[in-house]
Amino acid sequence: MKYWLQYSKGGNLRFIGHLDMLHSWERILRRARVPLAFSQGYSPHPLLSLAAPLPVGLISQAEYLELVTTEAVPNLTEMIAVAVPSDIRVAGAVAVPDKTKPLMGLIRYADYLVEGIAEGQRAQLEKTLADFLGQTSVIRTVRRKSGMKRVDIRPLVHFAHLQGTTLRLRLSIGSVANLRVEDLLQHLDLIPSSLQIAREQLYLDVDGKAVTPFQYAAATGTALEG
Amino acid sequence: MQHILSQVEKPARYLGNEWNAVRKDHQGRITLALAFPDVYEIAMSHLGLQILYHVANQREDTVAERVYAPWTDMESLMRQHCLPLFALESKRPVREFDLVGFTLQYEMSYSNIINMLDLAGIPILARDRGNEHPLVIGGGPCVYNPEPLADFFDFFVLGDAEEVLGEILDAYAQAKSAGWSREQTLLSLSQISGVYVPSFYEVQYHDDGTIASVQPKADVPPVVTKRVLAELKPEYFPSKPVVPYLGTVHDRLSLEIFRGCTRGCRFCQAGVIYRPVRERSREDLVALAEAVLRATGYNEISLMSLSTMDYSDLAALVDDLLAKFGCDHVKLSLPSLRIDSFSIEQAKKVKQGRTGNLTLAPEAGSQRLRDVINKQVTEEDLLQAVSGAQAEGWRSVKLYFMIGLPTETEADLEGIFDLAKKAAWAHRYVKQPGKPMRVTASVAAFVPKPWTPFQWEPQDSMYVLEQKQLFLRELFSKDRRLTLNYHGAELSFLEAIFARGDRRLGRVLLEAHALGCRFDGWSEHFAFDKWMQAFAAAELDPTFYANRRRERDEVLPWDHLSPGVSKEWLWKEREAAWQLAVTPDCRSAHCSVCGVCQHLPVTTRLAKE
Ligand code: SF4
Repeated sequence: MKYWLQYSKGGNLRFIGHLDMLHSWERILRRARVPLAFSQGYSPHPLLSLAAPLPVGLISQAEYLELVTTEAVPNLTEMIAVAVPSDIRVAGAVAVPDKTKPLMGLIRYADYLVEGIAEGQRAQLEKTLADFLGQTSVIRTVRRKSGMKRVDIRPLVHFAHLQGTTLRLRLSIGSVANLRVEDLLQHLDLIPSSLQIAREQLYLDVDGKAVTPFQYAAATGTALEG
Repeated sequence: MQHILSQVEKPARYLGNEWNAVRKDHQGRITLALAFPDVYEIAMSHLGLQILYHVANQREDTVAERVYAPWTDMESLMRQHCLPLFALESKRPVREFDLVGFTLQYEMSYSNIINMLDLAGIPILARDRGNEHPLVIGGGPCVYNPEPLADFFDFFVLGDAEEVLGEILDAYAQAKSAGWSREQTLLSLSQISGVYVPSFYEVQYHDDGTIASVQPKADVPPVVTKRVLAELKPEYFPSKPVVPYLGTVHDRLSLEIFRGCTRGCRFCQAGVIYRPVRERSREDLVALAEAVLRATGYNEISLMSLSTMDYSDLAALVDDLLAKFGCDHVKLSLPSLRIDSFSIEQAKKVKQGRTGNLTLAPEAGSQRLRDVINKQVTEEDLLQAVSGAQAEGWRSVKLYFMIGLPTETEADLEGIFDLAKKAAWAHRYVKQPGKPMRVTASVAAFVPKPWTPFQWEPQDSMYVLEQKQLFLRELFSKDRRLTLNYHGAELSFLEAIFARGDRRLGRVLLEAHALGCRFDGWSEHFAFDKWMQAFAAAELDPTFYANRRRERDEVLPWDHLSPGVSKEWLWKEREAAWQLAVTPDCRSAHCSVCGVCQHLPVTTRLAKE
């Protein structure tokens, strides 16, 4: 059985990187005695993946873990609850058909909530932001695995609202197009390490509309659980 | 703190929020900081400290927390922000604890200990500490000669700590409630068997720098003998060890299957100080493994001991563990293999998929020298084992050797090359079909250690060691199947100095600390020149400690301490070495009367007779 699990990651766990987190999930699920399914082959590994890497230093309200079990686990969230550290809260789980594509490849957008912008920076930021949103193309050099690359980042920003000292963003994320929230903040002359950044939600794209993984699962006819 | 954490390379080292980390209110409790003088990833891989954490926290009246050496990036931020060294769980400054216990695993961590005391704001020298400061305790293998650290520690604990820790905490609780002075408290602690308070002993020197005498200055035992557990009880084993988020060196369940080793390799200190062999029962081990797996979620069990293949019921243990946990995809690893077909058989059972490196330790290149060191392995054994491994799918093997062993000649060095070459073509020598193996010879410099039959021997000078390395490099360059690895002789030289050093070396440690020495075990931080500068400043000759032969009747800096093994037995073993006489393992053959079972309430304890 394939499940998608939604959880929040807070507190000091923000300092735990993507791979360490994935590794921890294996331990959590083992402690919870969830019957994990393993890959075939020389060195079998549990069929686990995280929907989208969360940069170190960020907290998140909506992380998604995809896992495959050898049998149905109707009380999955309950089982896990006893084995997760207090900085993780499991929000729910949903069973998806086995043939569903890996969630990692389906995620297209991410919402971020950026807090802690200094009062004195507001006016300038408003201007910079309006300026940015008014353009149709903004080329910026960003770091990629392959090295520095020139990318048009404007189409990767789907919205950016400044309310008081809070900035709400929806950015492209995933295998097709990806903009790191730190890169955008730097482009807007903000210092990411001085801000509190939370990831609020992840979305798939269905006919040009952003839908959350659980909405997607519901629409494809699977019962929600947890 | 958050602000500092976001600037360091690996903040996860300092969070203290791991699964199974123990949080207790400090109010009304004895506070114990368990310190490992190296970085998190190494410290967390150490079973001994997890055992003490478990044993101390089992007590209602005690809270034990962890503290490790901050990496250099963190250290500079801490110093910049005047943030003192803190314990991981509560983030409280270490200097506010009642007790700070360091584990002394290797000599090259001594500079880190001093740096940690300094970062904690605890006076570095024990004599400068007042009633408001913690008592600084040392334990672990280096306490069998802790003399270079005597100025920095309030007391040391010799031997297995599980039981004596409770006695120390009881005595401390009494002293605390009675409001005793530091001196009074130490005097009361010194009455506990296994506790050594160095400030109660006076060392006199001869003009030539050797020791004239070590005398008690107070009412303390003239010789402090180690504590030893007659039985490794399961309740002492950490059933809920702290699970790191960060990948560590040993990121798995470490299951200690026995303590002690009586093979009797004459260079090996562990083979003396942990005597005798005490095995856990197979039933206990399976039950412990199950409990720890449930409590941690680990996916691998490592069978830990000084020589895992010697566990008397190993094949059955491996079968039991595989049967019980194999279907949950829990791997089993055997960290040390003996050179025989039995070991290869066990390694084959636990092997999953592609095989990694096979590691074997013949230690010396010739049969003669292996007899000298009492390593009871023949060339035939090695070639059989390697060819067996080759037949099972291994393609490469790593062989550990030592250079600079007593009585070594050029022929012994050539023997290293010959043995490596034969191992590559092992199948031919044992007349089996097969393919040649890739062989890596890893060559370490011999460091004479206290409490070994070679404790009187000089270490080769750095120049001689380097010549020997060059000689080997020349030989190995002739065969591209063979790789040679060795490390700089400088670190081995310093190890030899501190391993057999006396109290005067405390001055060198202070100077080295002032010069900024730390993380000496890390090549990127090791600064040999600074150490030599420190020796010059302290007006001490390093070669006096490393390269000098001791006389039989010389008073050694550690003569007033005892692991139970007698000095006479060590000397007899030394004589046997020169006569190429082999001493069999007492676990299977007869007792060679080393002294442990005669002097201490303990005997060899096997899982299966
Ligand atoms: S006293 Fe005898 S049996 Fe005990 S450890 Fe020594 S040699 Fe072995």
